[in-house]
Amino acid sequence: MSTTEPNPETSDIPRKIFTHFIEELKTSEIPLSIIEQLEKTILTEGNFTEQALRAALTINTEV
Amino acid sequence: MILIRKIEIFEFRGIRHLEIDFKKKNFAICGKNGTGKSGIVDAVEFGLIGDISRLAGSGTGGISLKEHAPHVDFRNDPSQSKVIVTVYIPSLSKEVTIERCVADIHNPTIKPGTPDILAILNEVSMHPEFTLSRRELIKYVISAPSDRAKQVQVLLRLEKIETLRAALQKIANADKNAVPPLKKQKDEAKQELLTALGITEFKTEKILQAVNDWRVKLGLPELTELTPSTSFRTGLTEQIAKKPVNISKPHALTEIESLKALLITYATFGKSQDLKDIHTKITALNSDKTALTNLTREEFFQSALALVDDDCCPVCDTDLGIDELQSILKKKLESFETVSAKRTSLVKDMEVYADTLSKLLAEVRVIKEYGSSLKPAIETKQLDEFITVIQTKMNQIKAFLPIDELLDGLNSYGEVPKAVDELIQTIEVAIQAIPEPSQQDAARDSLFIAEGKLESLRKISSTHKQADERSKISLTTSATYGKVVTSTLEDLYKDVEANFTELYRFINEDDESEFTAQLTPSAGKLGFQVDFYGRGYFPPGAYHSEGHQDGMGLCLYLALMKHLLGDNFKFAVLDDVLMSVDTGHRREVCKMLKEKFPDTQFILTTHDEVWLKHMKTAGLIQSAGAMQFRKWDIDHGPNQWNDKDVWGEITQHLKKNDVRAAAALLRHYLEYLCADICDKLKARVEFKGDANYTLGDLLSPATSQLTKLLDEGIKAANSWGKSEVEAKLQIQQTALKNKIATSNLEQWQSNSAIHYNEWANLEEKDFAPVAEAFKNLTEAFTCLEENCNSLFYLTYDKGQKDTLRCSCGTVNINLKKK
Repeated sequence: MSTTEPNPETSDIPRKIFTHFIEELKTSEIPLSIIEQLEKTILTEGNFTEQALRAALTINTEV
Repeated sequence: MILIRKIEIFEFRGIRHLEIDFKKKNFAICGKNGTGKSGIVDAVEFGLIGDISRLAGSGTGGISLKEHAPHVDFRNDPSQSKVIVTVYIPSLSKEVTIERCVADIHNPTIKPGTPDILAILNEVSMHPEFTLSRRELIKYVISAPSDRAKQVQVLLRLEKIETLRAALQKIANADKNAVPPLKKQKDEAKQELLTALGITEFKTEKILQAVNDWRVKLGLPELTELTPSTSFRTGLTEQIAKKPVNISKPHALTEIESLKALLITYATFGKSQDLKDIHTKITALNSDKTALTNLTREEFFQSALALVDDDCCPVCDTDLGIDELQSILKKKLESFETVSAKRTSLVKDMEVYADTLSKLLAEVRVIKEYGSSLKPAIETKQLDEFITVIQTKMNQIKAFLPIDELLDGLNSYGEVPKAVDELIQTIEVAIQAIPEPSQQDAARDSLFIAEGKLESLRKISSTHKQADERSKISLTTSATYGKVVTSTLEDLYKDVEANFTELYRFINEDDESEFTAQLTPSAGKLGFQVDFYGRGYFPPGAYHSEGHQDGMGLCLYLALMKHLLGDNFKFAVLDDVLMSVDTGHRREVCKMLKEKFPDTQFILTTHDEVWLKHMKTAGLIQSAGAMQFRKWDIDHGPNQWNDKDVWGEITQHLKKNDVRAAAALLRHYLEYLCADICDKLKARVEFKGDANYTLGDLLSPATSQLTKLLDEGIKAANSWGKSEVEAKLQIQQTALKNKIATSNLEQWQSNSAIHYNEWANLEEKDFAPVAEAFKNLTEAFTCLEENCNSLFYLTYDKGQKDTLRCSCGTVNINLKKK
């Protein structure tokens, strides 16, 4: 009988998706500063409010 | 994560006091409806996570945990209502006790309460899905794709994924909608600059030529390029013009001429045949009551669609999911296609008239400003009123409904009050009276005005560009997220689909060994279709029986749990699931749970005693791994059988001299058992078209077959020279024959005067030995190891009989000769 606890990578599906999402964004044309802010908001802070995401997406969009 | 060793329940739900030792193994609780089975499920849930799922959800309004968890006699003293659960944590090799009282739900006493243990228990609390009831099981199978998606998302803890998706989509939608109005403003600013420059083409060389004309007049060097920081006034010192009025006479007169031309256009449009035709069409629409109602509904749904920017309906706040909402609204709008097409066509026809009003509004406002700027100022009240009229007409055309108001607006389209014409004339005369500016003054004014327009254009261009950029970013982000989610969930559901298919095939090998399924995720939904005997894929509820659907629900749940927890899927409670599953498939379910989840502790409840016996004979539970409630009353809670098996029950009946009940139970039990024995030993039973096999049909074949198999075992042992085994088997065979004789089986079978039905007419003293004899006889078919107690069964090797054995292997008789 296995006595190991679940590998967070396999049972934390949302985190796996969020990490993959950030990696995919890095291959797109979205500015790195925005990607970094999204990573912080989603992965580090776990903040999925519209307000926080909008703030992350609007950084450095001044042209 | 955990295994449950023991539970003790005090004054909780319908239970006064009950202690159950699960021994960390599978356990079954059987009892008719209302005997307290689900109270134990509630207690397990409450003990582990401080909640009772069936006291929440739809249809449970007015029910609360605090009020209704305690036994009804202690509803005013919840401190007496508590549950103590002892669990074992395999990964830590530790045992822990959780004592939770209804009076203080969120502060259980946990011993020991070390951080590692608390972390595990916290993880358990985040998986309330360890309990599966039929209500939830069905949700996996026959629910709308969006409901199923939510159910599965909750189980797999995917809600955060959907939350983020909805938020990103909302932002992307809002950003996308913000761009067109800014584009329009930019285009208008561009047009204003062109007008100020007196040119028609927005080309750098044309702009520079116009500007340089003025600059040359002022003795300024020509501009050679137009950059984002170019100023038309470069080199020009600010001079406060000493003019009687701060109006550029040439520009003002140009603008008045433009307005006058526009008013003529406006008047001409008002009399045009085209407008009359539009008016006629709208009048026809207005007289068609059905069309009018549909138009109103169509507008309502269009508004609702525009308002949908999150998961909740803008009308009733129901949380349906943004995609589902939009889909519903679009579908409704489809039914109004005809009237919608008419409206769209009319709106398009009226575009030119609306644009004219828009230009008119802008230009009248400019002239009004001139009137206010003149010295002395000219009263412009009539222009204010005209502006209001124009604005109203614009709103009526834009709104379309109510149609009466639109028709009113169109009726007076093109009418210019005489007072307005006169006022414009007055303003024109006053402007003409302004002293002619010198060429230099005119050039200076033109530069200032053009510069102002250029700055406005730059500003709005910048805002538009930012909005456009923002929209691209948020759209790309949302689309990328959607792509990642879909591909990850597709992989996830492919795994689950494969596992689900394997499990379902296992339990339906007899009739659906080729079964396949499709779990298809899309934004906010989970499609679930199953193959129906190779005829195609359909929703589970389309052609499959209720029993098969129950099986699907269980298999899907197990597949999901396995995916979520992997090897740590240690424990689940199955609360009276599979009610509609027939006998044959229940055996396979027991086998599936035992073979596919050997390390998972299942606590099962059922109201069906036959299924309880299936679980025992399949080896899913041991004989001590079950509890049967015969009845419940409010003062004592559930009442178990005194002995945990049928024989004790029969004895109890006989003690009360209720031979009829004892006989009925014995016969019923033997019929069930012999059917199982005949299946396991592959006994030949005379076929009956109605499949209604009685004890008389089954018992003899069962005993004959076992006798024959023991004989084969003896011969096989002999051929291998295993004399000890041979001797042992001979003793076993002799014992069997004696038991058959003692049971007077032959008599009961053949003698019509003393048939099984006649048992009920025996006296207690006559029936007791019969029961005892059959008890001994049934033991001949069973492994007597306490931890096994399973019936013997045949195994095959390459189509040949191989062994006669039990589940634990204590009995393992070779049948193959050398």
